[in-house]
Amino acid sequence: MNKRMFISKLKKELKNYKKIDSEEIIYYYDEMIQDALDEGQNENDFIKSLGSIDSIIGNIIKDGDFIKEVKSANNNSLINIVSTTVRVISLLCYYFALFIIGIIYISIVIAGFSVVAQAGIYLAVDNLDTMGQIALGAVMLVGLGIGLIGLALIKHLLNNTQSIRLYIIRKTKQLFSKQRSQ
Amino acid sequence: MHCIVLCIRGYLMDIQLKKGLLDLMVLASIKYEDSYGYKIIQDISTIMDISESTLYPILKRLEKQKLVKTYNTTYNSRIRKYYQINQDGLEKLKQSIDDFDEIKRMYTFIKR
Repeated sequence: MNKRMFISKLKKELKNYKKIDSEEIIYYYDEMIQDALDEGQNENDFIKSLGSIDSIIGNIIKDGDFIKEVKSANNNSLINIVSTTVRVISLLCYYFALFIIGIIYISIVIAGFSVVAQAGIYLAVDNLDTMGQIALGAVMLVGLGIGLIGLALIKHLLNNTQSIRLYIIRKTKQLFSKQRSQ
Repeated sequence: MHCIVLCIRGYLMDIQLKKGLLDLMVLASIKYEDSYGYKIIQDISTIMDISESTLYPILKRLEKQKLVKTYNTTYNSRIRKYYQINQDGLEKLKQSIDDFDEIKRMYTFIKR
């Protein structure tokens, strides 16, 4: 593989990762390869020594995760510095909020899929004309859409539990410090 | 349970220690003169194994932490990015030497 092929392959792969600053990485490798060539290294051998594009991107992501890990570890320590009262109240609020939001989302999913089921039963049991069948089919699709939206919301909620918890801890802490200053 | 926590902490510490050392190696490689990606790899690889793909995140991190400064110059009618250590970076290197003395003492204690 020569430099041009490598760079274009890297560019193509990096397109899948929006959070990575791809232009800078491409610049970095372009410069690196050019420097190696200027030093008299063999183009193919050097590019082979760079490793696979997967491992290159993997290293960048791994490091990003590492930074995130350190950050979240710092965030977690927020709970250690707040007082026990704040901690208990905020955790209660957190579970309560999670419970309420979770129930709302689950009910959306159930509503969506029950529309699908209901329409399906009508479609199977009742003797309908073509128009009626099309209409019920449309209703089923709408129900499916609602159900999938509900599932996506649940997934989103599960992905963001950490930030919700931190948000509540922060708010509770603010509330308490305000009361104290009054 | 306690054991698992300890294991995870040990693992994290291992990563952190390694990352920290690599950061210091890169800082040390530009301690006396500004350098660029390829040369940093060449300089460090005489002492330890480091790949191009490992170096990039380190440089990026050092830049983010404002331990190094970067600038572009033209070389052979193309742009080359140079890395320059700044005061904070030098401070960190100095600090690391004190840390190493402590680690050395701990190591001697562990090994005895």
